[in-house]
Amino acid sequence: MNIFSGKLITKNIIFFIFAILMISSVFAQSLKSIVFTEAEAKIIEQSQVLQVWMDECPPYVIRKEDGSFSGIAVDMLNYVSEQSGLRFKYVSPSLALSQESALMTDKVDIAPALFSIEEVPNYHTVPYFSSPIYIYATPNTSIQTNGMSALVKKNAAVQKDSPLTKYLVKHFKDIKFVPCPTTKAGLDIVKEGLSDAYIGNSLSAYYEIKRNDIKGIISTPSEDLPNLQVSFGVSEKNKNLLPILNRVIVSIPSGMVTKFQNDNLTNIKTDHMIDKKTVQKWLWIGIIIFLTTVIVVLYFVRINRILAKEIKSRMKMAASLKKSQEISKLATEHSQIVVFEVFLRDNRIVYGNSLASFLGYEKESDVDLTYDGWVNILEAKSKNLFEKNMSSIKNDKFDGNFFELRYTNAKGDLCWLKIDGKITERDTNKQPQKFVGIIMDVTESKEYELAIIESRQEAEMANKAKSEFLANMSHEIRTPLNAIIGFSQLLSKQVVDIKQKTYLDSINVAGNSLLTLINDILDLSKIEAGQLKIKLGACSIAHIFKEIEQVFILKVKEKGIDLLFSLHSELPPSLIIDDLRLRQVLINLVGNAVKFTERGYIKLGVDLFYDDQTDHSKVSLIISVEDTGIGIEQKQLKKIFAPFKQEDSQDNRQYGGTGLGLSISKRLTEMMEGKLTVTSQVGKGSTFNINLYNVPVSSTMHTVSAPSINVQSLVYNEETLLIVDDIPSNRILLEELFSGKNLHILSAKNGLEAVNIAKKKLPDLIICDIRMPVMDGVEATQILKSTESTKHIPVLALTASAKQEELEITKELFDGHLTKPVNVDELFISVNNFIKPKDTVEETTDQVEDNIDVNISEVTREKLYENILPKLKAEVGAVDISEIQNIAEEMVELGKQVNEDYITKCGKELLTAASVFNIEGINSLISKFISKVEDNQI
Amino acid sequence: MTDLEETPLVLITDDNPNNIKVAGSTIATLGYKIAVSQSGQNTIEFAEKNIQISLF
Repeated sequence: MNIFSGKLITKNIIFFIFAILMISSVFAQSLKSIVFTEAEAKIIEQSQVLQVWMDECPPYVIRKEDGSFSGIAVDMLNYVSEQSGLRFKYVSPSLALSQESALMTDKVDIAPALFSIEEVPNYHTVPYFSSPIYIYATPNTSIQTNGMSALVKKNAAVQKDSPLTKYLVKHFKDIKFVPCPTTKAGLDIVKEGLSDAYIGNSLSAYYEIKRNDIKGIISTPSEDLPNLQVSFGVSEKNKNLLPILNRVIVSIPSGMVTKFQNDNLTNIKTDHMIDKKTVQKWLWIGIIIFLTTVIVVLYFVRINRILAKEIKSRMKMAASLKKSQEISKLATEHSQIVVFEVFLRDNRIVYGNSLASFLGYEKESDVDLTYDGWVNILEAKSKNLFEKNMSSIKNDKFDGNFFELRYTNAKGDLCWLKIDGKITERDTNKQPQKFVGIIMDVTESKEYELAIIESRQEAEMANKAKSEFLANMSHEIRTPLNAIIGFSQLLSKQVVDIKQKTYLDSINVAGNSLLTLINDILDLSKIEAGQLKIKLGACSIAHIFKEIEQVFILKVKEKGIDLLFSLHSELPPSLIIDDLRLRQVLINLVGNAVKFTERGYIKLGVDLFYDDQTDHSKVSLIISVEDTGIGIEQKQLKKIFAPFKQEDSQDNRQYGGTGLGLSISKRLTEMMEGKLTVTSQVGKGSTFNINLYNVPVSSTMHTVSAPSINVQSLVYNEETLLIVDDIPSNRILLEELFSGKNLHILSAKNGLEAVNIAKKKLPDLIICDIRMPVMDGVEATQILKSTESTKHIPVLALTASAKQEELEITKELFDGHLTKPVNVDELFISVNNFIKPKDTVEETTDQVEDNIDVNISEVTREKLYENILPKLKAEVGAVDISEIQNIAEEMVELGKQVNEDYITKCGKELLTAASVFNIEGINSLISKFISKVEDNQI
Repeated sequence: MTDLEETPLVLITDDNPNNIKVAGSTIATLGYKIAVSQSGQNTIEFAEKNIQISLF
């Protein structure tokens, strides 16, 4: 019952309201009938059908699919026609002519929707509609909270040729405005992130957002922005219609305008409003009509004032039009972006502002910027790119990336444009209809980019040339070094005179250190050129440590420091690493440690840990080299790994070296995917850590160990050896090395000679240089290997080249490979692989053991303390050679007198050192002798 | 030995031992007495004790 009575009451109320509305609308109708003056009525009577320029401008003018028009302005026109009797004809634009210009040129009589802000131009009617202006931006920008001030220094899209643009340019000088052809284009570029915001008429924007279902754009009202007024425009020859139209407009009930607005906005797409509409529509309209009747009365009062204003504004027309044109020009000139739309069906392009002036042309007519005109200003390559991209846009295959075009500007300079954009409209088959994009001038950045690419290429070329040069130079330097090192070694073995022997040894040592320097420089240049490759293989860390010990044991003993080892107990016996490079790094680090440590010890250690405790197939290593040397200052620590930089405080002359060792070590470690770090304390010592991560554990045992060889005692079984080298000194060196070993030596000075001799004499082994005139080693060996009679003869390649590609060739073709300068031990080890020496007899060494404890008598000791030691101790610092010789002779005499061989021997050694001015030898002999005597070791 | 007293003494100073070897061997052939030093400090100390030397 309750429910029923509720419904009944509602029905009653509705009926009651309806009744009131009917009465009030009748009342309103009677007020609405407009009274025209006699003159006006005459004008209406005489007027012909008025042409209305229907330039599409939703939701004011909407062109429907069937070619007819709807929209707020159309509804207004219908209303005006009803009320006044004026007749309108809708004309569709066939030219790209705005309403304004069509009106100005008297092409038509009426423009349906002209916009104005603040001042209404005198050819406009009074506004029939007023629409707020909103800012449109993506969410989460400060625009939603800060409004226009958030746009300072940013881009904002605005509709071109709109009074709004002029207003904004005038009032907001800190914002860059980008004109775009339509509201849709403006919203699109905001959505694509090409512009920070779009500022425009809220009704048009609302319509486009609804129609195109644009998501992710939020509208923000701003107090800084005025409303946009919408009026009819009247051409000059029809200006007598203005009062008539104004009278109709002011008489229009405001509810009617709202109805027009709702009709045109709710019909877009959405239908959720329609349900409520049927019930509420009449109710609302009734109330609004009731209210507007009051307002209309007020309007009649105001109309006189408006008419007076209108006369004034007409006076201002000329001035304001000129001013706005100037502002518009200013806006175009300062914009760095041109927005454009391409209608893909007919290739029509519409630009937001003048592309012609953007490209440097004075007038629009100076350049053809239609679709077909583009090809004329583009460079051939860019032309292809442009056409390719346009066709891929049409076929919907555009990848969405921007593209850059090269064109000739008005001055004839080649410039660059960047084009970016998106397909924004599709037809019902989802085929692209419209492409919206922006054009930017990127000439400056592009030229910069090209210059950078060019200079980088130049730098790369130069670097490559440098590497090539160094590789070649190393070959050129190695060849003479071969003679220096080889012959000094050879001579040293033949020469009996101790002085001469010392000279030769000096030459040999100097030659070897020069070789080390060259190898360091070559290594670094190879690493920099990316030519150095890491070669992994199974090897044992313990074995590498043993080799390091062998290399440094003599120097360490000489300096009186200890070389200690500490290996983790679980260290796998065999690991997959590049043993050659790890050894190189360790030799560098240990070499440095030895160089800078005067007392204490050097400790090599390996610690390990597993990243994954369950997986022991990979292990991470920390290999440390610890010393108790001079240490490195904190501020130097970072610099020591940079190439060509030695420690500042380091006395380069004292310690020598290239300063490349640590830099090479660091890079080699990095190439092994490891890390080289250092900690140090001045005066206490340094610790270098090599961290190697996830090193695979090898299942195969590492067994290879370099066999030691006693070259001097080697004797062969009359085998024949052929030596091939174009440089005589190299040939003679090898011949000498093999002489006295019971071998027949043949020699040839190029590949051709070698082939002829080999075919005749059939030697047992050939040692062959690679680079030779007439015929090189590779070609000669190829011939020998393909000849039946000689193909069994082993050929050892001997080359000074360190080039990787050459090494690769020799590996495949030759039976073995040796590098110059020749290491005698390696040479014979290789030779022994092919010809077996006779069983050798071990040579006995005739050197006196240093560590033999010889006990001397107390009498002798006293004599030493009395005569010898004080004199020796006086010889610190600068050394007088003749003094040393005197003391040494005294020592020899004393040794003979008391029959102590050790003293005699030390005296003789001191004499020798003094005779060749070996100051290091003198100092070490003296200090050793003094400490032995004082420590009672003898 | 008495003759040596009158032979001029040449003090060779160089931090590189190889250079000392070369210079010493060369100058010795000219019949001079020779002293060697690896640092300026040592050279000055030596010179204060011995007056008749020519420095290198």
